[in-house]
Amino acid sequence: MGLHKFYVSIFQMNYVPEKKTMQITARIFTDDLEKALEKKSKKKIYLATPKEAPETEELLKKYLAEKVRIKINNTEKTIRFLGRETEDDVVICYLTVPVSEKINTLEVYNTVLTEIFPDQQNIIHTSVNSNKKSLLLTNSKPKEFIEY
Amino acid sequence: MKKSTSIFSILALAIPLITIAQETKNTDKKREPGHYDTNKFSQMYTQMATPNMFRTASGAPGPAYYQQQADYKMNIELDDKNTRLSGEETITYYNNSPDPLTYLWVQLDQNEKKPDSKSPLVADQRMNGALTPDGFAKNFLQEPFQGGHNIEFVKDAKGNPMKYIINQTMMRIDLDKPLNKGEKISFSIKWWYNINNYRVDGGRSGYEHFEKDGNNLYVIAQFYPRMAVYNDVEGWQNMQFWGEGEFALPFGNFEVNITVPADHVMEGTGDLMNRKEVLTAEQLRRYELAEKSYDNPVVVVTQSEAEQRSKTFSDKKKTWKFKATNVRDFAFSTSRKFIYDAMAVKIGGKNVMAISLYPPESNPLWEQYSTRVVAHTLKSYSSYTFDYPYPKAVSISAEDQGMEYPMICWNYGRPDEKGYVSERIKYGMMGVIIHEVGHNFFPMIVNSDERQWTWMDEGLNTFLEYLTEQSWDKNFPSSRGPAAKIVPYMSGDQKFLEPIMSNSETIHQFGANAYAKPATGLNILRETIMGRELFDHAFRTYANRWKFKHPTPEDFFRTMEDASAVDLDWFWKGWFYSTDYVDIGIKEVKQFYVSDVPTKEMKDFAAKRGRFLQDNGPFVYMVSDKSEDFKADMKKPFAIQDVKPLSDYVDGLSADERKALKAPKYFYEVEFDKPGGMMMPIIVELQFEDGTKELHHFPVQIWRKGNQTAKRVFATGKPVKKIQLDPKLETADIDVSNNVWPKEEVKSKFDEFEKK
Repeated sequence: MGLHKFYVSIFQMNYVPEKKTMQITARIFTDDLEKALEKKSKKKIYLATPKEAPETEELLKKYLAEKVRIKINNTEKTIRFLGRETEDDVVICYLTVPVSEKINTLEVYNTVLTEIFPDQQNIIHTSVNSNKKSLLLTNSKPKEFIEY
Repeated sequence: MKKSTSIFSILALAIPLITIAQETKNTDKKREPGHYDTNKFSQMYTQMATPNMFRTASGAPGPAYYQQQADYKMNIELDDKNTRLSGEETITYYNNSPDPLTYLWVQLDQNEKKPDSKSPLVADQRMNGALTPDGFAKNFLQEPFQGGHNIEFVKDAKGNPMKYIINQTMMRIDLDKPLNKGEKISFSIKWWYNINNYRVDGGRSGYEHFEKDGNNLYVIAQFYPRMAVYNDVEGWQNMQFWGEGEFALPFGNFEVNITVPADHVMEGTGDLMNRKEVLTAEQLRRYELAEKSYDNPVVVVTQSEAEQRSKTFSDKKKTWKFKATNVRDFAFSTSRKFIYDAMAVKIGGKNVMAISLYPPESNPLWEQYSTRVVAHTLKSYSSYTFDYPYPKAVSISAEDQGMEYPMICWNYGRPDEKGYVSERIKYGMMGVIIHEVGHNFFPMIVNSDERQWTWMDEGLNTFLEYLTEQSWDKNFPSSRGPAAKIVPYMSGDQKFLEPIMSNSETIHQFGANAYAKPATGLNILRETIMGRELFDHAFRTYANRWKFKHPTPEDFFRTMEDASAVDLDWFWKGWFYSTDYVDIGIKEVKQFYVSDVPTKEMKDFAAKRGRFLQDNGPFVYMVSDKSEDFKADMKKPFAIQDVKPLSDYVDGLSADERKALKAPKYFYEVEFDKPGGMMMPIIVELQFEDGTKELHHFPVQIWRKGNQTAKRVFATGKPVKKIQLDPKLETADIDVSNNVWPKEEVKSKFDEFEKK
């Protein structure tokens, strides 16, 4: 069977104390992401092609802001969209969150693609103060809480 | 010679002794408990089934190997208006096993789509915060799709009803008397089912509806009650079809007559027996041209013919007759919308037809690539396995699909409404065609049990897909195959990793686990561990031993070793039976200088052993840059004349002997460690100050004593500037930050991007 039926995206979240920043790298299958953005905007966007619609970046920012949320020490944080690139069949999005305080708790909410694929699994690898933890977020469990 | 080896061999022995002595001292109150053999190089006697008369220790079919046979004669009819399929089939089942069978198991895969199917009940469900009206209606307002096999009768050869019971997707037929070894039985089943719109209700088969012209494109498979496999490993393989784990099927011969509306064009498994009755004279002439066209496809049914037919909705019927020999399954595809092109491929002196069927919506793209990619795939796979034995291979354009059957497969990838084809769609479409056509080899011919072991067909097939993509286009963006591409998966949290040797229903990341990881493993074996020649011969041996048979994982593992003399138990255990990952690093590098002055270390050692150095002398001493004997003036390239015992030694040689001597100038001892549990060879690149490089390859057995570290000494003619482990990223090392000396800061993906 063809591979495209397996729905997984991978988020790597690294806290970098010297930069007072949480760096987030999100790897999402291009075709799936395109489908999600097209459903939202109700038009073709040709994601990651030379014909890409000019409003794509805005759509993607809005989409990620809606689908990915994090709370640090119980306070909702603003996620900044730094940019993106494509690698094979994956779009890699780079996001940052300024964090000036010591991280005691981290809550991650992630529903990327779950609205179009009920089987979507979003795997979040976190690395905070040399503490590595991974979360599997799905349609039925869209958020998780980590205490350090 | 004797003289010069003595004290150094004592030293080599002494170091471990000293370590042990210290350990005993620290723990002399409590003795360490014993342990089982946990060495990763020990042989897999306990993990693998004991070889027997059915399957030998060499990985080949044994003298008592048997397999069952199921022949089918079927009459099928498609009701296009009501999207319903009905059929009557006569199965002749041959019991070649030594066991008397009192019942037979028949698979009813369509029952996975029955309203009372248990598949949806094992899915995790939760209330969605927001739903589209469509989604709401499907979930809460509409009746579920009325799918599933409806069995009208099961009759024996005399026409008497047989006793049967249906357990989800499996039907047991009870026999009046046991079917003994060498006996056969014929029985008939009449059935019908509602065909699913697979784009609405999902599934590996069904139909796609084209709103614009009201036509359907059918891709029909798992459509008839199919015999389950009975063998020496599983007994009856009657694990339920839950939707993920694919199929296990015996081989047999098929005669299938399929009646569809007269304006349909069809392809299916096997030889078409009545081409003259179903094609026009002009189309027939074009087909005959295609049979002689080796370079370019010939269009047999044109786009304008397809567009014409798409409007006719004929009430008349036509029957297409297929005959297939030694296949494990039968599938077909039919529609008014089909364009049909074909070309011939010469394989092992025989003609094979490469064929594509696609609706006008698939152009421009399919006419250009599909059939050519089919032809390339057949040639490429044949070169790594055996000559493709079937008369044809067909690629059907079916959106959202990627599914394989003998001689025919469904593949996605079409231009958008404006005819635009992105690179992603183009390569996606070519990749899926290579993959699905490739499945003819694994598992259609090398007939493994997909219900149990997804990797046996998907993994092996993804590996050959990678080689075939690269030979089609050396810039093909293959996402699975190269070692480095599996690192994000293998470095993930262990909670979400399963060994490849896991049942397909239990896997978290199916694509990575059952496709990419085994394919990558085979690529590593081929490129890094065995070498292409040994690997290719062993892989070909496996394919030839098990073509038209039912192999198990052990048959594969054993054959790969048996045909190559490369012990791979450590590899199977680490890569297939565990979730171990590769991480090898450089722990320490010491540079050494040669001196004729006894070092403190050696003096202490000799004193401890109660010997005097002059006993066996003279010696030269190796002084580490990190030892207290090291002095700044030692820091120069080694020259024989600077060290008296050596210049004396060289003076004693003949002129010819002297000429043959090497001229090392720098000495290094490198210590490697292994934070990862997966074994791998150590690949070391020495980079010299003048920019030249030297590659050293230490076999994986360097770790065979269960050692966590290993040391190697390098004597070089030029100063080493940098040492790099695994420079070509061929071992799937998950952490490369410890792969370099002197230590370099490895930039994270994020930092690299930020810099751009």
